[in-house]
Amino acid sequence: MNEMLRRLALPFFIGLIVLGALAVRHVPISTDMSFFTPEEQGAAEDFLFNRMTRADGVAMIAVNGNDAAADRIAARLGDHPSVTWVLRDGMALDDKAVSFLIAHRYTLGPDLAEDEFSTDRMKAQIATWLKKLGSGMGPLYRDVFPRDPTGRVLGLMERDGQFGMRRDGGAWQKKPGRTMMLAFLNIGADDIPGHAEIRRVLYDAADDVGVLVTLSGPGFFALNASERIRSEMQLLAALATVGVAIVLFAAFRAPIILITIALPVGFGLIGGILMTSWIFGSVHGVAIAFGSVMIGVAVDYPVHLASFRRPDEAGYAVARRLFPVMILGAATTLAGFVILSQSSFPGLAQIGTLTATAIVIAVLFSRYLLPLALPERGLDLRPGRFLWAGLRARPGLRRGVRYLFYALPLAGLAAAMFSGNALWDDDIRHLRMASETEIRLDRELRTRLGMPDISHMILIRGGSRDEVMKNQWRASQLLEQQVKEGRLGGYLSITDIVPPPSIQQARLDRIPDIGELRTRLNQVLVGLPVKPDAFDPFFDDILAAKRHGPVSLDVPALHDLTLMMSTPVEAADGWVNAIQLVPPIGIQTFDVEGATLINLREMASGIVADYRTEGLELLLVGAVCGFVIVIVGRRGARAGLRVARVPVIAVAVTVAVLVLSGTPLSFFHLLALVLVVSIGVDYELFFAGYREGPAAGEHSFGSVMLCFVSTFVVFAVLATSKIPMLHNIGLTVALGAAVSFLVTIVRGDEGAPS
Amino acid sequence: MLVLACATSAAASGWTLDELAAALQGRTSDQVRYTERRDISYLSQPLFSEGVMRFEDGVLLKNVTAPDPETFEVRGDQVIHTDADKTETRFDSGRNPMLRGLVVTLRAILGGDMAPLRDLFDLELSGDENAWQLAMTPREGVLRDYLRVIALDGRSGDVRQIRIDERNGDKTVIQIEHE
Repeated sequence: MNEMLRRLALPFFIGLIVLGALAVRHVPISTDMSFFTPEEQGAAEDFLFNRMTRADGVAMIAVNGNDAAADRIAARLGDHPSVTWVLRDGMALDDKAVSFLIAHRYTLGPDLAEDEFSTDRMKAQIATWLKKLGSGMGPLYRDVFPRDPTGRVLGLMERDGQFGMRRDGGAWQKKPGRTMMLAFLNIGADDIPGHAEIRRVLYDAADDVGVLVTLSGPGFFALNASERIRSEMQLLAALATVGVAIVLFAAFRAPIILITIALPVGFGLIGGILMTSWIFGSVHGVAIAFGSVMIGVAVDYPVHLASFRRPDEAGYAVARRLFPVMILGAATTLAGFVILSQSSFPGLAQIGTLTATAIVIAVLFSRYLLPLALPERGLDLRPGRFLWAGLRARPGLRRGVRYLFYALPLAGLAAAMFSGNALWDDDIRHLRMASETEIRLDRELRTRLGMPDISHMILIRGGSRDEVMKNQWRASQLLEQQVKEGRLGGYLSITDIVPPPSIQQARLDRIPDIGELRTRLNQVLVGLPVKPDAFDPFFDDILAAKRHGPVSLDVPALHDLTLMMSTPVEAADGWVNAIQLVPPIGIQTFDVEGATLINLREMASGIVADYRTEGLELLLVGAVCGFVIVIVGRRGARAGLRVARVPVIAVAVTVAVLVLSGTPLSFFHLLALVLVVSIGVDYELFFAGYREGPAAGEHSFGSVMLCFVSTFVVFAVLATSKIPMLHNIGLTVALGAAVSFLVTIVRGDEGAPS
Repeated sequence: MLVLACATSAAASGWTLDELAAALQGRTSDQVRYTERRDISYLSQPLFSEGVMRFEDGVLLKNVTAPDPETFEVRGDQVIHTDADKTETRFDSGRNPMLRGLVVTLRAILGGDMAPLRDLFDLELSGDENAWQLAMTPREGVLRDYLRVIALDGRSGDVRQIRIDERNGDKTVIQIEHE
């Protein structure tokens, strides 16, 4: 019966894992910035990190080819349903948008000239118009001239090139043989598959035309990063799996152990994801990634079960025997993650919840179900026996090294403190996944397209949408001044296109009545080759504008005119909006009523620092709880201290080595150190804390050594990653595990229960 | 039916559309000088401009030399305009019916590509090889709403004058000198 159960268990568990994986496929996984923003965030954080990153995507494209090639590529791109509009250099807005802007020219756009309706101005403007009519472009202006004796339309065109799209009165910077394009997308910047599809369409079109294209944009950064992480993870995972497989196969000579070891982790991870999704409504991709690493300690449970198993001992018997030690180790680790799950940062809370759930499931699975699937054969103890015998034979060496292990962390930490090296790294730039080449390309395309800077913006706040619009209008007036004085390259503000209603009304009130305008125009037209009734359309426009009143921000026709600009949104504590700044940005401060210059990089770094601080505080509380658990579990402070010694030394040495080698600690190092603590406690509990059988120490040594070698292989492989986050975690855990193992074996059977 | 009408009309004058097309294609010089006079209904005086036009590798180039230097480069329906201060503007010739009619006509008379003319206009050819007149009446759509007629005068493969009558009363007359 038992044999039959054993045979059926493995396929049954694999089937369950597959079912669980299918269930996880339906869990909503988020990839936005919500991971990094605190729940109780302010309006600024909410707006800048959530709404701005979820805004519609944009593709900045340079086509290295002639105009015909660029035309074909633009057409192919424009046909894609996710592309709302492809803007080519020098290309005009469509007629509908231009008609709307012209119809509402006295309320929309920049302020009216002081002398907008004076006879002198009209005379000069009509002369300019006549010149334009005589040019080759004349036919395009033919119907506008009779509506515009004040030159308002001309002004809008000159200010923004072609009706509100170009900045700085000039075209996009053009290089011979190269055409710039801007594709507006109706998918969010966080829609990675959507961006992959756009990139495919663009590259296919470029291939067909036979030209090279370069592409950048926020969504493409995310796409490249995700592809880089995926390909690197695939390679590293393959290497680590092969490494661990070799180690385990050498130890057990039973391929089944590879599957057995994956079961508690697999069930734990699936359970953790489902529980997190149930509590939070969705799971963040980063939480899953970290959760998977954090539950690495669960891999040790099956190794211990298999290693400590005596010949002819039933799987359940060994599980029952080891469970008190396993549960103590798990409870210590759990303490940290349960506390972390209470964080105000959703990301931290999710990591805590996911990992805590996963560990509970993994330890319970190892106790009650895994014994069914344990391999028949126990651990080959020969290497352990040999090494352990060697160590036992040299108590002097062990004693000497033991003092070194007390001295080393103290000396290391002291040296690190006085080294002058930074302890913490909160610079958001160190978290970015983009390569230097990508960043350079993005900067170049942004400059050529006159796109706004991504690290600075003016944040506008107000109690209502109207108040935000008024504050933004005032801020824009001041920014305009900065642009004129050369301290700012430009800015993108919605109020430059749609001023607040009160400003629009004030403009309409400034327009003289029709009778007065007619008198003035009759004076102006003396001596000019324009017939007296030529400007009847102008009078019609004035009457229509006064009748219509201010233009609302919600009019759909404004969409094309304001594509690049954000509109006010309601946030947690009022309404907010942003003015984006175009480099060069020479202004250091900008603090007027309701408007503040925000350095996004500093702000994000501040949030990262808050993240790290809160994470550190919670983990310290978790460590204290873990320590109390160990004291209770070991029935005494002295025994508890003995268990705590290994992780404390491991963390101290790891931190000292990292800081001394010029690697300041980030939030990710902290998480890796939690795993180091779990590993340290596990080694200590199973090696020094658990002795049994005739050859005391041999099983413990073999088991812990096997756990260490497998962990070290995985994290040493991770440390070779070019992605800073993975490299940091890999290096920290590999180093910490190595120190934990060395300290554990050097302390030997000191304090072991007899 | 229309083709028949055109052929009949042309045959009667002894100078057919096919012969005209062949003559336009057989021109040796692709560059012409022109002067343009535009009469706009709301202006009391005409506007004048002049320059050079040429057709090269499927691209129509118009260099305006007076009153202000500017260039037009027409590729298919795309027009690239560069003004005196080198500001480049791109637009579709279809945006303005008068420009579209002019572009199609210029491509035909400088490049010998009569097919678009036959598609868009009813063509009526009169005169003989030494002095022919081609009246082009837009058939339908926006072109017909805006343009009354485009009339060409020429001798053999050389067009001497293009006259564009718009429905709003505007008139444009382009005198062409072949180099």
